Amino acid sequence: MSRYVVKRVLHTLLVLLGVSLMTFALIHMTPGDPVLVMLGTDATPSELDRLRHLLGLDQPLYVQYAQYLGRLLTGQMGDSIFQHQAVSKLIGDRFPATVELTLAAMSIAVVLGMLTGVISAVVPYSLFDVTAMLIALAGVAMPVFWLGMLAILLFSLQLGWLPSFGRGEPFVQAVQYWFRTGDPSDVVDSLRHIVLPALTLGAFSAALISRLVRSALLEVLGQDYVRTARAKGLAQAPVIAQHALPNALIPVITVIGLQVGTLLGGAVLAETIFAWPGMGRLLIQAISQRDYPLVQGIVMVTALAVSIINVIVDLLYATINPRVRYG
Amino acid sequence: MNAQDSAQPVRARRRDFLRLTFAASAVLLAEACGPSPSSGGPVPTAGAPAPVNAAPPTTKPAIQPTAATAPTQPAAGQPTQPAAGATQAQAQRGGTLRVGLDVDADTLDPRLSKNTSGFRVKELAFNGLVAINPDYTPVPDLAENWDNPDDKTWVFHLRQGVRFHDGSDLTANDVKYTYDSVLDQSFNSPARAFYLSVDKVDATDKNTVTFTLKSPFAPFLSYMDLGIAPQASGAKPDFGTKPVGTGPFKVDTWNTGDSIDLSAFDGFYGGRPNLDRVRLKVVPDNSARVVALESGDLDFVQSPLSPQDVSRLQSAGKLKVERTPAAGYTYVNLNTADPILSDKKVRQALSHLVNKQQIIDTIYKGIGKPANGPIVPGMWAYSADVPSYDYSPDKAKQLLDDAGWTASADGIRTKDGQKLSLVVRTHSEDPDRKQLIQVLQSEFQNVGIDATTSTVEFPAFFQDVQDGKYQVGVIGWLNLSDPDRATFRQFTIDGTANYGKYKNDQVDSLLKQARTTLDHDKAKALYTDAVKQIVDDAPYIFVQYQEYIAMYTPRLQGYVINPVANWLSFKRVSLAS
Repeated sequence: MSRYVVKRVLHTLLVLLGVSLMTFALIHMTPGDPVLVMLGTDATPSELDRLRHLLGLDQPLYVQYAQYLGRLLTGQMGDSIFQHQAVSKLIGDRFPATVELTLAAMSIAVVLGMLTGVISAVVPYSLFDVTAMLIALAGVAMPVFWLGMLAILLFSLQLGWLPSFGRGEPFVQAVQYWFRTGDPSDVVDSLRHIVLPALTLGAFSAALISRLVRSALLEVLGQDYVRTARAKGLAQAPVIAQHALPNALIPVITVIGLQVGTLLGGAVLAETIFAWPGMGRLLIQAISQRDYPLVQGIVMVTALAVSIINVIVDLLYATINPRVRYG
Repeated sequence: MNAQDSAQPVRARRRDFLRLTFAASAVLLAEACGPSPSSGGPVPTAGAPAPVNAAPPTTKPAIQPTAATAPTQPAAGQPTQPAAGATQAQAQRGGTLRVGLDVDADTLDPRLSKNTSGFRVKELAFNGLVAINPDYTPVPDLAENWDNPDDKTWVFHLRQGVRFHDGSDLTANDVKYTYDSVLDQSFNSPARAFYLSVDKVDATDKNTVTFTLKSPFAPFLSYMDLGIAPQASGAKPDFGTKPVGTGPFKVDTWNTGDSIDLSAFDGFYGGRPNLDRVRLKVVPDNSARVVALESGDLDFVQSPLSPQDVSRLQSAGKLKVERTPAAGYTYVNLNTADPILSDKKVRQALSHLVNKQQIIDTIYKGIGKPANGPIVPGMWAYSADVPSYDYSPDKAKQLLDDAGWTASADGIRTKDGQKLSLVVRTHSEDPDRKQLIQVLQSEFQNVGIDATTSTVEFPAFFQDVQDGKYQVGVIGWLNLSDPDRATFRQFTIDGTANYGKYKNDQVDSLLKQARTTLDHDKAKALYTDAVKQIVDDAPYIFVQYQEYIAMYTPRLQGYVINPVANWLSFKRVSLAS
């Protein structure tokens, strides 16, 4: 087991190295010049050259990359060219918001997806099943920005139930405040803000998970050991919960793990529509400003997060499915 | 045009979505070439006459930077609330104004900011020596008055008793420090280029600052609105996130990417503002921002806005919609260094192929006015007395014939065996400009030009333009707060923004002369002569004077729209309950 973990960590390092190289190459190959962005139309060519030199952008690319890697090894991601702040601070400000949104979307997706998937599998081809699967199909097909706009129009503008944009207090802080003072108003506010973006972002994953759970569970329910369990007189609920579901969950866990990456990426759209102050929007902005250090920093942090989650998911297999062993 | 009128909440929104995603990018080159709506400055999008709603009722002049009658600042800590009765009669006190921003500020240090949101925060938290009025004239702000003993010397007499948010007094040293820092190359201020005429800045005494120029510079005063930073903390690394100014509101917190919170500054020299707080919320999507205004989550939004949302809210009539000509225009840049476009007749022919009014009516939904020169209407140097090109494909054909480009068998014009091929380009962030290049393409094709289009994202497009690697490019200018700003960079031979290598010695000398002519009447005559020449040479096809739009709750009273410094009036506005 520990050998496996070490191996995975080494893999992760290799992945990160590859990601850094790819990102570096792509952003530098893209036309556009951060110095132009920074100094604007009034700058003379000599001023542009001076700043390019100052930022090291006049060095050969391999030198720039080597310097970047060197800094990265000492834990420095540099300063944002455009925002005059440390990349680590900018990411630190935004990353928690993205994580909060992703986790909320994931929770909604898992709960909704599992619930509808299990019910659909238990009563296949019923009215519930057909309706749920139709909605799931729509959920898979619906673009995030369109769904988000419709949700705002309905829940904020027409019904006036939920705020149309923004984030409340960070959820963790709101909960701490609640425990400290007994005043849950921040938590309520925080939840009211996150419902729409999380639902919008999680819709696709919820739909995917429910379809997957349904088919996996249907397959398992046809297995011999389930028939045996039923034959020995077990009720429906324990059959599903204790015998069928754990086996059906293995492929589902894989998908959930992969979905975290998708959600982190897809968060850009939800963040934009709902003005959620997360990292996805920061990335889009950085790319369009050719803010090289910021783009590299965000991609690296995201890659690291996804890699870590993948390792965790792999380790979870063993817990859920004793047949899986790591050597 | 694929205007899809019926649809379309959905279609329109989807378009806007695309805009918004790139809003960010736009920012940067904000005034540069203003990528579109979503960028800096008094932003485009719009352009037609007539504020539809009358200006909101005001009980007192909304902007009075001179503040001769303004109350002097109260002693620190002393409550500024007037008696309850007075409050009733005058504007209501208190409340939080929630304003929607399209992009977050890049920095809150006014010396370093390069985007509109940063400029707007400056108007709340800082003061310059002068402030810029809606008619583009500089009026006293931190400087009570100034003399101009000779063409190269400006002496500013500071208002006394002005305090920074940290409680310290404003002195001439702070002004000197601010300008010295901007002029210091290593500070990398994008504003540095505006002050290159400055030789030195001296704090003559505690309340007097003297600027000595290298050469006379007429636009000088219009750049004296730079926010003044205190010497004591201006160089601290966190000044950009925790700025200290003299403005009516002080910055409390900045949650990057989300919101900027400001609160009333009791010690403001012009008297404490009526509002308790201003909360700026970043909502990148143009349509989502408008929906937030409609649902009551925001009180105030401004350009960039989608033309569809503007007309919808105008006809709904529940919210205030105000429009004003902006300090910017959309134009077609013709590269005069290109072998085909170096011929003036060809450029003039293309100018006759742009149907400005139709473009404004269809693409811009009636927002904006046909443009006929680089100086925007409303500015003192603007003259309507310049020629413009009428829409006339026949004249265009004639001019092309005269230039030697004659139609061949396949309908494409040729000269000496070379085809008349042009690539019309713009940037992908602006859906309106993308439609515009399609219109141009079909107009060009109709007279036998082999026209194709190309669209890439702004930074890539702009780099090609900067490097002169283009033929025909649709771009815009924003923040043209002075006639010099609208002409010098663009049309002098060595101008930093003369992308198409336009060269006319007469225009060059007229613009250089205008720059050193302090008398407005004389300068206006010089500018008018130059503009006439420029229009005749046709390095630009001027398409649309843009509009600046603000939409807000009727509870907001006393707001005065200002195309240059739009939030100056926030220090006087109030929110009715």
